[in-house]
Amino acid sequence: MGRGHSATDGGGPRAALAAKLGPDGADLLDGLSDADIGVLADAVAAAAAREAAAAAASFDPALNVVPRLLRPAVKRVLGR
Amino acid sequence: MSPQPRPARGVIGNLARLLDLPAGDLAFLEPLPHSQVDALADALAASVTAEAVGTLERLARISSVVPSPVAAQVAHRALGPSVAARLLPLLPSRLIGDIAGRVPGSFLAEVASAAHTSELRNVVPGLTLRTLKTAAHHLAEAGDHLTLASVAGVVESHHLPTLIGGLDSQAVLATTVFVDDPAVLDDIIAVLSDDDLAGLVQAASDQGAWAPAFDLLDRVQPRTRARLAELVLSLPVAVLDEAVRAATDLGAWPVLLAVVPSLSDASRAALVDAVGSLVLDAPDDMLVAVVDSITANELDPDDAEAGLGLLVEMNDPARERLAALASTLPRRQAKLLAPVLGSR
Repeated sequence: MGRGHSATDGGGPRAALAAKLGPDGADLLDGLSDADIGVLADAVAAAAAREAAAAAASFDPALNVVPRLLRPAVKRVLGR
Repeated sequence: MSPQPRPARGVIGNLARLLDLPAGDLAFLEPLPHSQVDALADALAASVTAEAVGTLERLARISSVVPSPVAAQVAHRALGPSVAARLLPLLPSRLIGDIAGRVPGSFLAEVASAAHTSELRNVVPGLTLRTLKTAAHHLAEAGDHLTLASVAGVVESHHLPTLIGGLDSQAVLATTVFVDDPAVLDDIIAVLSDDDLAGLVQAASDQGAWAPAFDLLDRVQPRTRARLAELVLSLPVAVLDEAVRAATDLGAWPVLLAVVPSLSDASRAALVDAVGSLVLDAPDDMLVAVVDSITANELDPDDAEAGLGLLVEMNDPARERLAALASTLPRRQAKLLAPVLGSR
């Protein structure tokens, strides 16, 4: 573990992002300043929200593209 | 070319695109080792997708209840490139290949562009040559050299000619900037003919894009470097003169000097002429920069010797000008140049 960081060290943005990145998260952030971590954490949060919204918004358009005959099966796998 | 490790421009560029940031905002990643940047980018990409995994898995299951032509329609007309890219790791590679063959090439290129390297890695090797060629064409047309480099990094090496073959010299050179793995660069150069490579250097000259050209020369294996250098030195004198001047401007003399030992006599003579021409015609500050480059403390001793060897072989007028400059130089540099100048 580089520079003694640990995913559980004292909370804060570094620990929070490290935890998101998995067991090696703290090592992966080694060499980055707290400001750098802030840039990454903010951008990851925004991108994750964007991706989640885009995926969720795809259900209806996907159903509309599918031929009527197949829609019940598609609704089933989409959990609708 | 410089004591700093070269930034992992491809990985950083891809990550910036995923995070919707200008690449410059991630400049803090440039000093980090490539292996760390690679692993960090993969982990960040996984983290971005984590929140949507359940939704994506449900979308992926559509393909299990509809035929692939319908799945292709869903991908193209309903999901869009970004969501389609996130689905790549969740679908069987055979199905992806089938869908890729059914959607427009422009959409395929958009999906490749939206995909993270870790997503491309699982998919690209399974694509047909036709699909690969279509994607490469559209990526080149869109000027998306970053994605072309990502694809080049994950495609099987025997498919590289298909990927690279359809690109013009300018696109190949622009793509090499984002190829982080030097072994892939060697593979790319290996599939290019001598004419292609000469065109690549000419493209650097035409666009004043010498930085990527020297960057390329700096990173390939010695054998590839020698081949490239011979080609550069066989180009018209005006191009060669421009290359030597650019090496001075860019601090790329160590790259130039590293190729000297492997040059043929004719190429070496061409380089000596180009250096002599620069020494004769360059303004004083540029001439000082040349001398600084060749006498730099941090230069590899073999490269320094090669540089001084070039100066020794210059014609008399060039050596006279160097001698005039030498009297104004610090003692250490003047001493290093003494054998070049003889009794002047």
